[in-house]
Amino acid sequence: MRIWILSLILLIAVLVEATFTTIPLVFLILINLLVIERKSWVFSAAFFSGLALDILSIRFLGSSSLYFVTLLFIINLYERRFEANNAYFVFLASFLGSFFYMIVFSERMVLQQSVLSAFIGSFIFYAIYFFRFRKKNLNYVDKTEQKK
Amino acid sequence: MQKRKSSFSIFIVFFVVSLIIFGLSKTGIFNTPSSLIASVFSPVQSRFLNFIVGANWSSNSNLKDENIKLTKELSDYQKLKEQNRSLLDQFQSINPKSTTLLPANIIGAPSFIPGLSMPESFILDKGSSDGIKAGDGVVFKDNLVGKIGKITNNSSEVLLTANEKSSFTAKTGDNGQVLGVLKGQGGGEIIIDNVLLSENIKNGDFVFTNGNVNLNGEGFPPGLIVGKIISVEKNPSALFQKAEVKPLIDFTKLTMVFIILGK
Repeated sequence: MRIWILSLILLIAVLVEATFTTIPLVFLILINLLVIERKSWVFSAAFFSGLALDILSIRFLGSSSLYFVTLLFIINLYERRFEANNAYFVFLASFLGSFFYMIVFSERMVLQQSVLSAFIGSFIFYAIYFFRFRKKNLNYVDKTEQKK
Repeated sequence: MQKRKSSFSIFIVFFVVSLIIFGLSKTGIFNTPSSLIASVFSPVQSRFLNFIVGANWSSNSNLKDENIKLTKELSDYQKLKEQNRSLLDQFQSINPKSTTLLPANIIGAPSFIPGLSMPESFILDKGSSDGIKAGDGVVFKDNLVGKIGKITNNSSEVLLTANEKSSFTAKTGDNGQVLGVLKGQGGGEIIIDNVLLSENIKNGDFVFTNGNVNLNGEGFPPGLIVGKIISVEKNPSALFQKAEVKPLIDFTKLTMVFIILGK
């Protein structure tokens, strides 16, 4: 079920990014998935969403996938090294990842869009964290009340 | 340690596969399947873009008035053309015969952030299978929109006149005979440059295409409206003067354009 929801979210992000914006929404979602889930299936999600983005944006097939997979691997190395699954790390990773993404794909207003992407990335982090771990927190509260 | 090894090996696999796909895509081997997939999503993209941007062309009364005035001026120009034709009868006309217009929906505007940046390119739902070639002109109601850049089987990219890669000859002035080079500056800005200092151009002059159609009928025919001059920069010590041009149509509100097909 969760795979279908994530696939739908990524598909919507691909459509939005290919249709009317240059903010790398797909990449921001992938960074957050990598930091929060810390699983290797994020690489396959990056690969396939990159292909979809290339098809809809009329880019050379594989260019986005190549970038996503490479940057996510580098971010993964740093994240594992410093155990930093927090909003500050996501902010920095989103800023740098978006900055180089826009340089590679020749976009305009690189600095402004990178800053905006960093804020959007942090917002996505808090949103995923809230929906993902809210249920666990409630269960913890129920159990402590039962003990009383 | 094993977890790190497995993520590294997964990364290597996807990296190599992406690299291979990227290399093969440059040969054009993936054009057909990617075009098929793009054509499935193009109606969704089109509706999505319409929902976000909206279509307010018909509600802009200022542009309507401008359009009426321009139509009259163009009809005067047509009368002059007819008079000239009688003089040119014994000479072969060099005008192109590319008069077929193909309507195309705009399904994407990748460089456009509403409120922050202006669009510099559009993605259309027509491609090489519809007879489109790179370099074909794109218009909307006698206004030049841009020219076709990248192209696939079922979709294509239009480089707008404000795109930095856009450059072509144009004419302006009271009599429409002052030649210059129109250059996109990015960010929605266009200038007409390389206008001789001796020529007289002023704010409010309309800018038309000079025509750059090749033997295959690709390119812009002459007489298409590019925009209107809004400021002139004339430095007596410089060789040329230049002027800023503002298009008459709002590219952010466009949802459909017309492609001038060649032979």
